[in-house]
Amino acid sequence: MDRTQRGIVILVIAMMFVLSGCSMFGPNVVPVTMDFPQAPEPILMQPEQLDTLPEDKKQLSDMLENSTVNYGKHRELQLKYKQWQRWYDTNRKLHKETTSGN
Amino acid sequence: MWLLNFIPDSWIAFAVLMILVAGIVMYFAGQIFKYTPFTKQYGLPLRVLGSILLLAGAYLNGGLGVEQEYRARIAEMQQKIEVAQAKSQEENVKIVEKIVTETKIIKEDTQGTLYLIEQMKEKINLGCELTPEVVELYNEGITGRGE
Repeated sequence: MDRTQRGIVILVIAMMFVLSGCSMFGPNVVPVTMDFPQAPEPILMQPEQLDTLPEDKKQLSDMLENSTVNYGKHRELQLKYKQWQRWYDTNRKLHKETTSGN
Repeated sequence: MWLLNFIPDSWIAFAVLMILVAGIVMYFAGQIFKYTPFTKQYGLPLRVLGSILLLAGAYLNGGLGVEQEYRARIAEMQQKIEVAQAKSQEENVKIVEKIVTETKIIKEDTQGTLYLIEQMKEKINLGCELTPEVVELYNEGITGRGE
């Protein structure tokens, strides 16, 4: 083996070492994770129960009052439900944008 | 490998390059020493040591490229997460504001309607009285039949 051949052998081995170094070092997954986002307090509260009509209430106006209060509670829950959906959509989109390509 | 995280990139790059350069220099010095009197006996050890350093330097150079790319990806990911967390927080504030504002409106609406019912009580109740069965059925609609 002459000097040129020896040089080529060393160069080839060196290249192999470069490549093995490349494959040995780099893990493929980035060890950074995104914490689960915290939802705002108002949408985490227990929902209010609907009021029932007491048995001693015999007038139509009592029933109407009761219905009005319950409809109000329903509208509040509807509002919170919509905000839950909004919160989920936003955070899902943000999560997708952040983790895409990693 | 985690120890590498505490060393600046430029230091590591410099050290790895120096190992490679030292390997090349020692290898060629060994080749030259082989033909010169007085230093002939250092030729082989220098070439062997030079080859080892050359290979180690080549190996580390390959690894360093990947390590630097990996660090850049981590930094990019952390930055993306910070932006996402800030946006999420911003959205939370908007959600809370909307809930507070609209809940107030709903409560005012309810109070308004209750006031009107109170005003029209006599008209509403004219000739109409609820039987216990009506109340029971009405409550079943609220609580469900199972409860």
